[in-house]
Amino acid sequence: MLKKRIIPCLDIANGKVVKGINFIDLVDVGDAVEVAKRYEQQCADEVVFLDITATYENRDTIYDLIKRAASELSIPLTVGGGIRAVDDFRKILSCGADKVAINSSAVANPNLIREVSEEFGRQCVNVAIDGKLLDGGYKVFVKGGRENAGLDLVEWAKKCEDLGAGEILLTSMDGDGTQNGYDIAMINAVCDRVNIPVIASGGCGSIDDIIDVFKNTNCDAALVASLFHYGMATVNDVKIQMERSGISCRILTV
Amino acid sequence: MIAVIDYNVGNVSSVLNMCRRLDVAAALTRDPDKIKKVNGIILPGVGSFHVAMRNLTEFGLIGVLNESKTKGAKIMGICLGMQILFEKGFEGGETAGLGYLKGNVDLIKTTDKLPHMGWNNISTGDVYFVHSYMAEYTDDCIEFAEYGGVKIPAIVQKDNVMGCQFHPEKSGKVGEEILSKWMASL
Repeated sequence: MLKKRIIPCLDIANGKVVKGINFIDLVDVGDAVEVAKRYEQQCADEVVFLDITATYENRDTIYDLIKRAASELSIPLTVGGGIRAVDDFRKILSCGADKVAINSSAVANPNLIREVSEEFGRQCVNVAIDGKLLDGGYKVFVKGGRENAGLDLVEWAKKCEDLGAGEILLTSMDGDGTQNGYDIAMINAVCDRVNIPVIASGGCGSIDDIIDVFKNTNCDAALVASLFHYGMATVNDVKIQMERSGISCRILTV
Repeated sequence: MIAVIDYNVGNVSSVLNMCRRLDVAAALTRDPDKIKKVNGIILPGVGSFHVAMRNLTEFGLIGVLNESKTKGAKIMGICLGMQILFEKGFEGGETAGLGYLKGNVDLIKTTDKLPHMGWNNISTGDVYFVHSYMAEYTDDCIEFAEYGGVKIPAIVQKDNVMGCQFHPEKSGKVGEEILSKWMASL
């Protein structure tokens, strides 16, 4: 049986973890590789690195980081942020990432989804979509949620699937950073329309929120940031609770 | 020494990384002379069946793989690398495979989501899958996973040829054990 996935997400700028990480015994809490390894030991199913480096010129640091992470992790790694072209995609995959997430660039040029899926296979194409409720309908936002792309969220998600996306990372901009729980209605709207895996993101503030999203939607994975980074729960804590709640998941084996 | 076949089908670095972690000497190569000398060959691969076979043909590797297989070298195919061990594939049009194992490779017949992506269980634990096509279920299947009402061959083995549909190099300790067992058998 396919397991529901728990995916810690690390925001990275200039090769360092941005959000505060609360591991008392970790020497360099700014080192994304050390943090990712810690999550792997806690039974994370995958890890996402989101590169939020402001300038394009500074991006070489992320390539070094991906190489190091890929050589130390034995779980899949997804990298997103600032990917504009097929060549960026190739570069990130050749550094050892398993999947690449594209967001604004896919909205600006939907054909990019087709190009990369034909070139590298759809299994490595993750389209990240930021959604927001506006005038009674879900809309797509880009540029880190600042700009309305003028697209219907559900139809865009479907189009991404048709163009060759292998997975959708769906973030609710309304929920992001609030810790008020995942946006169940938005996730259901997308899951009902597409037939590729969907990762729920935005709003997670407790283990209960994660249980809630798996119980009430057909999503395949939950993206988690603050809950883990601030040490409020470990991945393993979540897995134990998921198992108790009858949600199929991968658990630590000794 | 293990030869990891370099035929432009992705994920080679993760396989090499895993070999390094297991402390096994491995070389990424498409040089027939080097491949001839080893007793362990890994065929990695993500992407599409017809591209994989086209590249193997273009790089002139099919002859040396057949030769190695006949003289008893152990061959391990991973994901797409496992699929091309079979007779025929239907991804990107009907394409002949290496034919080391009986059966064809076709789209997973399910109404559930595709790709089949994520951790699924085989007898020894959970392993990481990501694929939309699968090999036919035959007597050579020694481990399978269930998805969308379908029995998906996860490990296939016949004589010196073995294949994993999942990614052992991305499957934590469980995957590491499968690879290290195979390497110890060389």
